[in-house]
Amino acid sequence: MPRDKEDLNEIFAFVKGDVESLEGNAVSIEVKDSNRPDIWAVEGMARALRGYLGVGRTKEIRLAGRSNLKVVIDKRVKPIRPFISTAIVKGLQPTDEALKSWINLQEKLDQTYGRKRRRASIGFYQADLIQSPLSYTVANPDIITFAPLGSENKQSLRDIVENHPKGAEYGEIISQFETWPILVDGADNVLSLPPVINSNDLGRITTETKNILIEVTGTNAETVHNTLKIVVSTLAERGGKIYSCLEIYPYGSPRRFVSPDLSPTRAQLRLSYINTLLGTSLTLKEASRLAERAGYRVRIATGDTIQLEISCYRTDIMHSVDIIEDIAIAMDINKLKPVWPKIWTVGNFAKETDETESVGETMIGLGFQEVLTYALTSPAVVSNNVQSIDGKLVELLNPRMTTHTVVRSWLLPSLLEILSHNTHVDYPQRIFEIGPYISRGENLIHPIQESRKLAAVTIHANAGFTEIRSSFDALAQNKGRSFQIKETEHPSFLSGRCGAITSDGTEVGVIGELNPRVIKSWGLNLPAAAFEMEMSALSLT
Amino acid sequence: MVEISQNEARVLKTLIDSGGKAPIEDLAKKAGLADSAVARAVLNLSQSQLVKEKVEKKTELSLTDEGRTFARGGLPERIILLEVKNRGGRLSLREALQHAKLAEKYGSIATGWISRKKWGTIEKSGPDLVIVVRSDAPIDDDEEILARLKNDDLILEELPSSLKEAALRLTKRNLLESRVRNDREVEITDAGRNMGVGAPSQPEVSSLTGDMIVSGEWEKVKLRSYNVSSAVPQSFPGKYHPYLRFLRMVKRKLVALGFREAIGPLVETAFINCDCLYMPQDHPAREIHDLYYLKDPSRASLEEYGSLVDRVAQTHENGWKTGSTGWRYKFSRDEASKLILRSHGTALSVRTMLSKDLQIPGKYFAIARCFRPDMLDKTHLTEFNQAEGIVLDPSLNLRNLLGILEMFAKEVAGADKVRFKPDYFPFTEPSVELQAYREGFGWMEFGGSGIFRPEVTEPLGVKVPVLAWGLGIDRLYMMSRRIQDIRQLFTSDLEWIREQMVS
Repeated sequence: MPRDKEDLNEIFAFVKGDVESLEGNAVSIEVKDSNRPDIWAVEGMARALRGYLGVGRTKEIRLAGRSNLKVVIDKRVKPIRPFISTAIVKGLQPTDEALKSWINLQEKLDQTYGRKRRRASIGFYQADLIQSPLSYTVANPDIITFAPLGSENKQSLRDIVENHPKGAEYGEIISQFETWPILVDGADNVLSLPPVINSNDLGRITTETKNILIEVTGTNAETVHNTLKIVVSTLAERGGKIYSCLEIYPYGSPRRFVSPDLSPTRAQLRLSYINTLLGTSLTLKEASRLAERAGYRVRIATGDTIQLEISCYRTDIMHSVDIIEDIAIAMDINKLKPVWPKIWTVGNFAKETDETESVGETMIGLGFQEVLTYALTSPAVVSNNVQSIDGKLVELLNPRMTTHTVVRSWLLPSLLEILSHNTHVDYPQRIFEIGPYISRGENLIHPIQESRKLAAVTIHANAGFTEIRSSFDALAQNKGRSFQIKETEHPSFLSGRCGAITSDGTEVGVIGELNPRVIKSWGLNLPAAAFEMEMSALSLT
Repeated sequence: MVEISQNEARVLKTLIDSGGKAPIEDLAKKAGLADSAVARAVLNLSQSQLVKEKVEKKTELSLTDEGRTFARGGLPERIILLEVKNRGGRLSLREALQHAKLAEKYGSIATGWISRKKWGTIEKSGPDLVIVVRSDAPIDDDEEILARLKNDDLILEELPSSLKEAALRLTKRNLLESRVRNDREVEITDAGRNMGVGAPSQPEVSSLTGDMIVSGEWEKVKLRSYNVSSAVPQSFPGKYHPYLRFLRMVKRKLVALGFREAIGPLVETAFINCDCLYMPQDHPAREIHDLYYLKDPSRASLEEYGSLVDRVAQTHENGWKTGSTGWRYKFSRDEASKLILRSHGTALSVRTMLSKDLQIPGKYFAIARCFRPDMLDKTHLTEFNQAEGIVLDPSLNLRNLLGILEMFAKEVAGADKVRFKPDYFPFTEPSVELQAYREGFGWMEFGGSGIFRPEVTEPLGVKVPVLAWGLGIDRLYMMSRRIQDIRQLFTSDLEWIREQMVS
């Protein structure tokens, strides 16, 4: 194994991993593939790498036999958490590191693949302490008691949800229901309160635990089954033997389900498709060998067809393209020669970019500095400290900062905000921005009106209407547009020195001297004049 | 030969007239110029060594209250002397004081000074002192000083040495007080004297007017020369914002490579932003931590997409006709209709593929403003730009994707070499990360890319391979401007913006 970070990175590239840190014997890897839970534990990652590095073939994961464990499902769990899947792995000799790895895997699967335990959650138990049949049923949260992990004392289910740290984290998944799901064994011992917490007596595994019962419950049958497959195949990498269990359902089909189902999936690949997608000229033999390296078992390869088997834990394979990518990775994509596509196309700027460019050029020629501000802002800013904005703004459902809660409806306040941060900088200051804004639309098909505006401000000891009007006129004239300025009132502007910019009777903007109240509210203390208008009004088409 | 301005010439002449030396205030008065104009002229003249500036210590003398009394009525020794003389040249001190109406305390002062000034002698007669005066005593230096000070203040340094001594004496007697001031004086040098004598008599002209050009008068007058090496007020031109300038540069490069620019809305539906990109509806990237949802309005009708919604729904549920297994869950149209802020530029690629103007072969790009619910800090923005795009043609394959990435690295990032790593995106397979190496900067992740999954393209009615790519342009910009803090992209610091080069 190489000791150098760069070399390790090359190896972990096979499993889309980035070496984050390397200290002594410990390598920390960031796995980018959020869709391959089978490599989220060191066992699965090693299994995948063995194939790519050619240090041993992938062992087939098999059932060692059937356990005697039965799980009887109560129909009352159906609306709460309808699916359960169990298996027993025997003959383990877990080291501390192994236990750590499995607990980590459990946590990652619960969080990501299990969508924070909502879709699926995992429990580990000491198989030897548990008597068949298990009963997956519901219980009154105030009557049934057990000692949750980390506690010696029996508590009611409700106390656990209310007081245990895991209760605080996951309790809300079940707390809305009158009765809660519970897993009880043949001797009436509580195994767990899924998906919140296991029992301290049965659900605590240690280096002494040779035989482990794994249980997955959840709301999506396939996720539940897949999670179990991934966990047992990970444990099997440490020498464990997998024994199946029988679930008996009062609903769905099949009613009797033997879990886990470790049988591989069969798939058929066309060699021509592989070569077309990758731009390669692989032979059938080469392609087959690469597929084997990537962990697939090739059954038959003939003519244009490769028939192969996908291991049960490869829950990510949905389409031939997933297998073909693995073949490309097995080949090492850096060995493919890059080819610039031989297609003829004409490049072009969007009309809006051209407009921004020509308006920007004119504004810069007039001495204005281009600025860039956020489209997200707060009602306080949009109101410009004087205007009422009740019910007019488009608000975010889930803002992260009080300063970014709405999408702005105009640009001028953002520009004044900039000026307020620059009172120590030499005047005159002249700035402009061309940027997006949104407003409410009329109906469901167009619930939002989105467009772009130009806003410009000048501020200095002698700033006033004449200057801004003169700049505006120069812009209009250079864009070949004519506008009428009609006297108007606007809360952000000074009465008697404010005009509506109109084009063929339609109002497209506003121009004037800023209201001293507004200037002062931004902590500015010089006269300022501004205009703001629709960008679309400046284009000829 | 040094050229001097009109003001400077005036100052030199005035100096010569004032005897080659004068305080700045006097010069200003005499030359009829403002103090500041004289100060500026003197500064320039002294740089050309035509004048020297001197700082002189001046001790201003003035009378104390007691001094003023004696200046008016005479010193005690003079008063007593006169009394003695008028009464025969010999008188007891007591009688003299009585006649002169002087206070007792002045007795010893008067006799002391009469004796020291040798105006007379003092004899002891029993308990009394008798003053004997033989000759006239002329006005002495002390009295001269007092007399002069009656009308005007005196400068100690300007007095002849005998009077200087007298002034010091009177100061000791508390009849005078002194105040020290530092006077700036300008003194002409020999070079200055020559120049001043030869200075033009006709006035210099400082600004050239249109009339002067037309009339030709400019040739007759002396145009003032400027000190061209001295500093002038700073100007701040309007400029493009440095980051937007950079984005325009990226756009130009992409257009030069044959890419057509696409634009699209900031507010999207989850349908376009996520569902059409085959992101399952419970995908972590769709949670409220990763996607901004709108509160009101919160949903849009998907009517305009017609049967596309069905095809996408089926693809999610069972793969539809794409050859995929699908995600196998129940697709929710309500979830799809939610309004969100665009979280990645790839949403725009969906719009491009949906467009009736889509061309095959085609190359498209967009620089799209995107939003994620992150707190602002050194490495996170809640609003940022992504450069992304697609290439469509029946002939395309993974090697073409690598070819495009290699071209971007070299053309846009100026990279010396590139390498590729397998990557993961829910909507592309295969997926490739681009790493670019630039001398002096090392390796950097410069892009993510892939070939759109059939689950993405087929429901949209696109039947050819689509290469999709995104470039890490923010990081490239930060590297090129040596910016450490990503918030600097949207900086409102006008001072920094004014300092930035236009390149």
